[in-house]
Amino acid sequence: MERTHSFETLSGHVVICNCNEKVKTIIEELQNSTVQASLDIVLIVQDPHLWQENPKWHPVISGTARFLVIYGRPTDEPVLKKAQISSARAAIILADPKHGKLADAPSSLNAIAIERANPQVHTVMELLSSMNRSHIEQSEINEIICLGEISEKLIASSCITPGVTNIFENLLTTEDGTPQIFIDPIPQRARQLSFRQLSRKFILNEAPFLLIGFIRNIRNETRIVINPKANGLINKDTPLPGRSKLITMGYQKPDFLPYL
Amino acid sequence: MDSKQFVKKYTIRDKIFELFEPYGGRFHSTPGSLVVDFIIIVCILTSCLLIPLGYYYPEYDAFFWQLEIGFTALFCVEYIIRWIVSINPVTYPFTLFAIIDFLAIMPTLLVLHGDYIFLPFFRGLRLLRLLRLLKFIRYRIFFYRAYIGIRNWSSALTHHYHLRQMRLLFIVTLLFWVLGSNLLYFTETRLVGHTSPYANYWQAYWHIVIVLVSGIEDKEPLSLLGRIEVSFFLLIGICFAGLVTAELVSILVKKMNRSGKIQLKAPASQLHHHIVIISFNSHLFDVIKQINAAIKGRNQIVIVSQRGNNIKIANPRQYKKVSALFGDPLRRSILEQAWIDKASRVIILSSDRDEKESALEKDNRSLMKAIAALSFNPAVHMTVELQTQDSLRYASHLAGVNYIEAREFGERLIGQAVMNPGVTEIYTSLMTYTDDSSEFYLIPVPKELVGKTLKHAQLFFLDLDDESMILVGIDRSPKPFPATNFKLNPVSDEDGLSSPGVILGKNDNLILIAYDFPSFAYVNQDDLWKGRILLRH
Repeated sequence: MERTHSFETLSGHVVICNCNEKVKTIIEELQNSTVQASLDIVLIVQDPHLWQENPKWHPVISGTARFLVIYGRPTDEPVLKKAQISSARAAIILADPKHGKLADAPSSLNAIAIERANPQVHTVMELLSSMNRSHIEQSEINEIICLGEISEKLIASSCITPGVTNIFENLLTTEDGTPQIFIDPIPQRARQLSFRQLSRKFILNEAPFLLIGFIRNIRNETRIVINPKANGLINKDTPLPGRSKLITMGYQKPDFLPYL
Repeated sequence: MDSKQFVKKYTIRDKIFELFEPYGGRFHSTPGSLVVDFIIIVCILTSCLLIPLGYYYPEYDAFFWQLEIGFTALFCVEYIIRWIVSINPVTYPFTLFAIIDFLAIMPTLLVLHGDYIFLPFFRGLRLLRLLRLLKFIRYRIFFYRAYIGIRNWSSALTHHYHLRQMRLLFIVTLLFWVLGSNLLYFTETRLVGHTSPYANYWQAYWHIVIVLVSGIEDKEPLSLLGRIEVSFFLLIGICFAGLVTAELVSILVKKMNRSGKIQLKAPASQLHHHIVIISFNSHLFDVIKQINAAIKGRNQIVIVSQRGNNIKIANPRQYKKVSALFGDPLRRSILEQAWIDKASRVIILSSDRDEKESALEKDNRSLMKAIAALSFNPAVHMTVELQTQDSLRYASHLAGVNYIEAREFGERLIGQAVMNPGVTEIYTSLMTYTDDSSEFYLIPVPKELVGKTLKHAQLFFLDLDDESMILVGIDRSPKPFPATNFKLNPVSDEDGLSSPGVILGKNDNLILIAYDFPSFAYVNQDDLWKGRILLRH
């Protein structure tokens, strides 16, 4: 259950809008992460009854991180101000069960309100209908997660390569001893080195992470390249400029410098 | 070991081997090997044709003999190349197909140096080279696929165009035609004589076919009995014309009714190595799209659902190899019709038919379908979509079944998206099958890498430029249960799977991120034949 703490001191926290059956796991994942420091969480609940009538949704708080609940509309500026959205690290907009299958519209409006209040905040929205994705992608929302799409992709992947879901499950779990995917800026010493050169260095120096791809900008367009090919415009021998990011798989957030 | 040497060694030896022995433990075949095989088949058949030609056209015998020497020289060169690039050159001459190859060239070599008395016998022996065609048994999977495809196409045609009923109508009409023509001919010639229009035997056939096909009397018989007989055939003709019209209308109406819907599975079609999707929900179309993108529509897909007769589709071209079977998937007769015992994969979607049903009830229904499917085919790879995590706890007792509980993945992905912004796009890319995206693949350790360290293997794949792939882990699971004992990015010394110094064993599997199933991967032919491995090639 929530603990009583003041909102003023919040910074770098996560704001979660709306509550549904997913909220418990998400909060526990964020607060019990073994990869990085636990995060303070503010939950904005529109319907106090819904929250109180579902104790199953209440997370078990074990660490030192704070968990605060605000009752109010996530689109209201005072509510967002109270949640210290201006200093938040990320905002998660969950589908409000009260709206049923039509929750995508209020969720999008919540996300837009948050982006207006703080354009720097990283917004993650739960989408119910994959059909709405293309419309919502036009807005400033950073990441859209549709459970239906995940389900479809995992079913097909599992059908083609049996057992592959276990690999995804392993990657997505934040438990100790399971790897995750990380995205980090390329260190200065590694600039202008190619994917192949960097990979070779990391393998030969037995780095505890694997380089699996990179993100770089071309003509104002961000390109995510996983497993670069040997040929093509961006290939495994293309030098990576300063603004690139490296995609790695590892057990901890990677520290590149000792292995360069 | 230098990984570049590794790559070079593979490239020279295996490329020639691949050219002469496609599918020799690998699923992959280059266009070059197909050309080589085609040339060899043509040479074998032409050289065999020379034997009868020599007997029938003895004047060209010298020319045929020159050709024969040319073919033998070609087969000798081929034999030597096969020997050089073989996996074990010491034992190669004693393998079955090497003996057959040798028998194919031996008779001509004997004739060149042999006694003239035995010449006809040795020449006849040249027919032994027909045995070489047995080698092309390696293409059996393609012949088998073509056979299944043609058989299913013909049974679908029979079902959709009522060909069985039309065939029956045609046979009965033919019988009545022959019967009527003969009856009228004999009646009229006996009772009327040569003045009757039916007195000419073949003319009688013409008159009766008009009667039967159009239901209109062509020429009036002159005898009373003849008139009674024609009246009977007129009635039959009216019935036939009506029946044919009714069948044609029924086909057209059925076609119109089914336009924009998934075609129904023909009852007589027999399916092998297909994918069965049990139940219907909104995910169905995207699941099919994903599977088709992954295997390029190579395998048939059958949807078994109580809404099977009414599944609407936007683009029928994308569903050419998809058919639906209408009925309750819990009924054994329906599962039998879906040939579930011969299926390569079974997917059970969580049915959304009854909206009042709770998530747990839906899961229980899905699990019962899984049990029913497993009772037919216990070895099939099955994926079951579940709605609640509670169901997962007891569902895990069904060994070898993959369960997808999207909520669990979604919750974790939302958490990761906060901690590592942008990560969802990477997961989405890894989960999506397109020509331009990478996915996870599990392959047996290539023989070149058995006994090497994981580090060597990673460098080997890094330098492999023909196909891009990254080695991310090792899988040491038992064969029927892949990815149940694996380690991604092994770094620490634990479980015997870890540390970059781990030695790769021949029974291990590698977990790779690749654009396609690696072409060099050694694939058990039995797995390929039985459809345990789904490939887009």
